[in-house]
Amino acid sequence: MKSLRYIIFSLVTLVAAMLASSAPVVKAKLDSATVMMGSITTLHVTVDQATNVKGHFPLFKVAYEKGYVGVCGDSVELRAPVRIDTVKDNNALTINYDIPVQSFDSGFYKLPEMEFVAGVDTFRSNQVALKVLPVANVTAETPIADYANVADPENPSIFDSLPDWLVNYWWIFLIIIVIAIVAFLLWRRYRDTGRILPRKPEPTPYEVAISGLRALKEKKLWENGMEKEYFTELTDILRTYLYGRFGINAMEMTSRQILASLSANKETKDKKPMIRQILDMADFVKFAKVRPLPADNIKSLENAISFVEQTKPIPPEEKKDNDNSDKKTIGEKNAEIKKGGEK
Amino acid sequence: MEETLNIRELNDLIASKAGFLSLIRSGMDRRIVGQKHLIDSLLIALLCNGHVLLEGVPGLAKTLAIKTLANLVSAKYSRIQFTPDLLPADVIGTLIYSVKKETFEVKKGPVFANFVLADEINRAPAKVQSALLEAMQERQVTIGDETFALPEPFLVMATQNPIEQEGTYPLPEAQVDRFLLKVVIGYPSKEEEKIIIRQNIKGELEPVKPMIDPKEILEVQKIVEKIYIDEKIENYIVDIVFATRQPSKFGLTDLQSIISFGASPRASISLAKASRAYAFLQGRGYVIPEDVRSVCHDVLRHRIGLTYEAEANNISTDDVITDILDKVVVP
Repeated sequence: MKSLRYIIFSLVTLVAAMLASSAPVVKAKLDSATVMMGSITTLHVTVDQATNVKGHFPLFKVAYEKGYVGVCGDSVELRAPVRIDTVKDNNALTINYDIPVQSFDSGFYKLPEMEFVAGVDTFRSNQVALKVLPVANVTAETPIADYANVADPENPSIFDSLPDWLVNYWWIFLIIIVIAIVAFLLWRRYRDTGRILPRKPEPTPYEVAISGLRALKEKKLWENGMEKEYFTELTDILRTYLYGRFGINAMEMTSRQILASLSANKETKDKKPMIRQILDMADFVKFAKVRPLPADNIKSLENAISFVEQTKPIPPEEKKDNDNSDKKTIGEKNAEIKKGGEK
Repeated sequence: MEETLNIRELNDLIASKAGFLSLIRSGMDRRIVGQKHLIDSLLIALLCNGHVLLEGVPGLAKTLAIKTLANLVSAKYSRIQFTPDLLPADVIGTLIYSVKKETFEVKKGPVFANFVLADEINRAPAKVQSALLEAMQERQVTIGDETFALPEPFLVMATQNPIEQEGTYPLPEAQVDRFLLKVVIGYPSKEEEKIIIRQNIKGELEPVKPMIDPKEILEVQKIVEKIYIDEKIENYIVDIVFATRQPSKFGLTDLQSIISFGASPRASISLAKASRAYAFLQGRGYVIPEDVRSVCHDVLRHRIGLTYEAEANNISTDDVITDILDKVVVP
């Protein structure tokens, strides 16, 4: 009976020993027990367990989900990610958890036991102590020892005081300002003149008439039997000139009315015979089927050129000069035009 | 200068008829003082085989002018005084029963004359006016079953008084259009008036003897028909007439609201005819823009209708025509 009790006791002890040897063992250890405030140290948690045991740390799960979990009254933070390393040795399994630990409150803390839950059992680690050292106040007077103080630039300029966005993109602002100025100037010109582009200087009635007469000569209309067209163009040039130069609405006037208007004008009174010759001849050619002689055609053009030249407005500077010099200039110009036409 | 033979021949022909014109003018001058425009207008109408509507206050020698013209030409002259009780038969004639012959005989009216003076035409009812105007247009009259041609030359000079409009029958536009010219006669100048007094207080006016044969007038009419009108002049005439219809196209936007209706194609024809006659009076065988302008007022005056706005603003057709002539480009 005594031996039976011994056997049972032995078996129980053996089973208990066996059971005790297969229970997970959780250990905790800090890389450094002392850290500066804000610095990070690592908490190493090791779980030795049988391979068939399945368990987890609820605290680490929270750290995963939130990014960190506060302990010691939230003064110490266990941060994610938690690095896990597993080593297998026969039926034993060693799992290493590395958890970053950080604190922003100086003081001495005892980290809580790390609870490993495996089924219905909970296994706890040992407690570890952490001392968080405060950081000295950084002010302008007490600069940070390992950083150089902000020094003033060697060659200060006005741009140093400008904001960076202005210094970097000043050219964009410059373009906008230039565009705005140009737009304003164009608008002001449009407001004042009614147009944006500058008005091309219009040719004077004299220039129009002289160029028209030159062109008419070069067309050689009467030389090709087109006397009617020749005199029509000739009279149209003269009528346009009379309107532009003297304000006589010659385009809407008959020959007689034009001559009457010329008589009423001091500048043209003595030059009327030239125009009379042209208009009389033009009326014959245009309305009476008359074919003029070549001499009549030439004389009409010459009279037209002479009339335009002699009634050309004198510029203010030339007016001061002697009248004789004017006459010479007109004569010379007449000759030039005739030469030009002959070419 | 080389000239085509036609125009030169025509010019010579016109020059040869200068005597005809000077005879008429000198004859008219003996009786009529001043009124050169009236005399020219009568001659233009005579040369164009057209008719004249004269408008002027009484006493401006309207009747005397046509009477003198008729006397100068050895032609038949008749005067019809238009009154409210006048009948068409009083103008064109009628059928009268002859007891002796026991048939209806034609009694020709006063319209059967070379020169007819329709005095105060607006005092007769429309049916009488129509009878005369139809005769003027057709140059023939139908009495009963028979049609009679009117003598040639045939010139009707109708007069109307611009004042005393009460109890008158204004000529409708369609009928007034049949007159080649509407001439407005103004008062003589001081000098002319003095001569008029001197001539009239002497006693009877100097008699006018017939100096021209009606055949000669017909010859001259044929010469006038030959007067050359260039295409440029035709375009000018068309432009003027179109400017009365669509003034805004000729830069006359102000006239758009003033003109109710423009001149008809008959106006274009009349303007061309009258221009030719005026060129003849000037001794030319071709028409120039000056001729067109000279007759333009007389030809278009009665062919343009004005709106109430124009009348309210006292704008006359003469003002409108002057504006048009000042705007239309002369060839």
